[in-house]
Amino acid sequence: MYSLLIKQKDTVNRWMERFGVRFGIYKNGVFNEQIFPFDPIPRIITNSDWAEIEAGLIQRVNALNLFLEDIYNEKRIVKEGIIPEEFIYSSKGYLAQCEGITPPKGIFSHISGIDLVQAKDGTWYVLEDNLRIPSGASYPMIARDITRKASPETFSNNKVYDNRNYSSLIRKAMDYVNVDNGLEVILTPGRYNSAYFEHSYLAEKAGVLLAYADDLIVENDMVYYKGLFDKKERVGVIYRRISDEYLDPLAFESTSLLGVPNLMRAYAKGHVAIMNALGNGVADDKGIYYFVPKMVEFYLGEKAILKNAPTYLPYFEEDKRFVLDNLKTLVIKDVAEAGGYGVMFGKDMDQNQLDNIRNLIETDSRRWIAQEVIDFIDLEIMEGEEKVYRKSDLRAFVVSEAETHVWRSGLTRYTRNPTSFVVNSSQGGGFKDTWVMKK
Amino acid sequence: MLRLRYSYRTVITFSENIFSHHFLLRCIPRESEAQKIVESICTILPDDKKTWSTDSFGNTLLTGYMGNFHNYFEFCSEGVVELYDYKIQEKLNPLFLYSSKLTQPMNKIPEISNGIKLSENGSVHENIFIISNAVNASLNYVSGITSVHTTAEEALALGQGVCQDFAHVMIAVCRHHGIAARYVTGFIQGEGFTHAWIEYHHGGVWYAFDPTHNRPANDGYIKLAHGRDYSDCAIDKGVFKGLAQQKLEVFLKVEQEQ
Repeated sequence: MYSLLIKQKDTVNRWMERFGVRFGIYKNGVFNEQIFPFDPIPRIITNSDWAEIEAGLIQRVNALNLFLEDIYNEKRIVKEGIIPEEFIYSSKGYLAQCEGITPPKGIFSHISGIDLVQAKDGTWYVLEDNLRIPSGASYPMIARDITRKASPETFSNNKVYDNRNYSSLIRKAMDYVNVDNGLEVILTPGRYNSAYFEHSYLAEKAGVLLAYADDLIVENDMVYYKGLFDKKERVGVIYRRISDEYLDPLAFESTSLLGVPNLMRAYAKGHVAIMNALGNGVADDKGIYYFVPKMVEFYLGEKAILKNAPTYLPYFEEDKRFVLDNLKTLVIKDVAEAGGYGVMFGKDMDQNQLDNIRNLIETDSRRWIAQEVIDFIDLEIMEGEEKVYRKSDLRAFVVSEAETHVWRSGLTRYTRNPTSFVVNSSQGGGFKDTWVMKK
Repeated sequence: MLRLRYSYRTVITFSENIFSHHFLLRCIPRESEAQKIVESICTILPDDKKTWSTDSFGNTLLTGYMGNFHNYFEFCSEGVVELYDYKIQEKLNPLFLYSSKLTQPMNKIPEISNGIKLSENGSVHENIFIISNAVNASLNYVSGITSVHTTAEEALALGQGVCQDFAHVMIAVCRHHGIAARYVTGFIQGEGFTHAWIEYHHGGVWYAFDPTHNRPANDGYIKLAHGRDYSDCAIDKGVFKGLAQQKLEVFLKVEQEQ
């Protein structure tokens, strides 16, 4: 069904290069832009699999949004003993500065990137929630655009959901939370950010302004965009691609040059919407992940549709014993790290490393989680003219406005190293198009 | 009851013109049952445009923006407060039991904490004295030795510090022993600069202690703001554009009202 795409592989890759589908990476302090390798064979998700994924993601993201609202206000879930308070107050992503703030329309996570894998028995598992600045949606957008051009027949012969609506989903989410009908901007840290390509591409596609910190100014607790000749126009919503700690040098990291001074004041007063909201890190912390199915039950009174990978929290004595006894078969993750860093497979560690991690788990149990290694399916990729199998995952994008929508596409990433399970693009992986079938 | 008149003025002079200047001030005393505000005004120069708000800890904030060229910045906070017994009834926010950026324990904090023997049947107030004695034994007061970024660990390693460091170390040790503690900025009678002390929570009440002077902070302490550590309650923060040297002068007077 996609043989034509394989034939057009070189054309597609040439176009990708011309469009500048790049990914910035810092190695040893030097900034390099790399082409994000694209594989022509799409991942195909059947309609019935997708129906379950979609329902599960909507449920999960709704619960996560309710959790964030609760944590920064009443904290019922802590008071009722579902989550120990330590997991909130020791989380790096928890921002005390956000206490009592409910963002416009009560939405915290407007754009959520949920990472899933499919096990060999067909079950889908959630590996990670990304509720701060999930990136990567632009890659499948542009890949589809190019493959459609390279081989239109492929898409008239196959009933694949069109994925060109992502920018309008984003735009609708921005419209929905916009305060006082102000300007809509995407705030970028600039061209030396690993996802700058995406910032500019999304701004263009969604028809909103691409702004740098210098373009925005807070006066009288309102945010303004300084246009030509310094004419100030009120800003109603900021889709920011700058992380919390750099967003406002007067509220957070005082040395930040990327931020907008006193933006936090405008936000606290409800004069501007920031998507995603500040302080979301408390909900996508790897330690909190363990509790997400419990959140679904607590806030929605439903059983979670999507499963978590079987996870153990050494914080609990019983789990700690299990983890220490089974270190060799588990994967150990540092809750404070992201992007595939701080992930260690027990099977790959020598005695020294095992002793070391054992010691760390004993002394600082809150910092670690352990998961069973899911035997997830391998996907075909083209290596030269040959088909080989590699591990992959799927980042699904969920957009929350009046309703919660799942984009019928997603970023399928694969590892290029045949023995690796880590698919993060910052670790040198590639990507595929993701076809969600209409029937 | 003690009635105090305070006048706090900060003048920053820049060697060149600066512009695009944003500021955030926490220079207004905080109202509570321990401290009533009788009179309070604040003036900002060269342009007195400011916005009032409250941060998540309940501290009063004054923020503003001066876009045009200027070569000095001045704010003056003046007024009269009535001070009562320094006890603030408030349900504990568990946040103050956990470590924060500037009080994060590494090696030194656990070391000093474990070396302190708290009295088991003594009151929290006695234990606070024991902790403060230990903090004073590990730190010497040396004016200007540390900066606003110095952590409790760094101050302990140095063995020297200012009131901010005494407060940070004290808070870190309290939290290590399970006593909720928070950082306070303010003024005290008889000193020409701003001061920092701590509050600790016991039985639904916040009490105050001044580790720098190794005494309860009972009389003559005017409180401006509190938070997890200094970074939550900086009195004066700002960013601006321009290549300029700055000179800072602080004038503080606290006197008993007749």
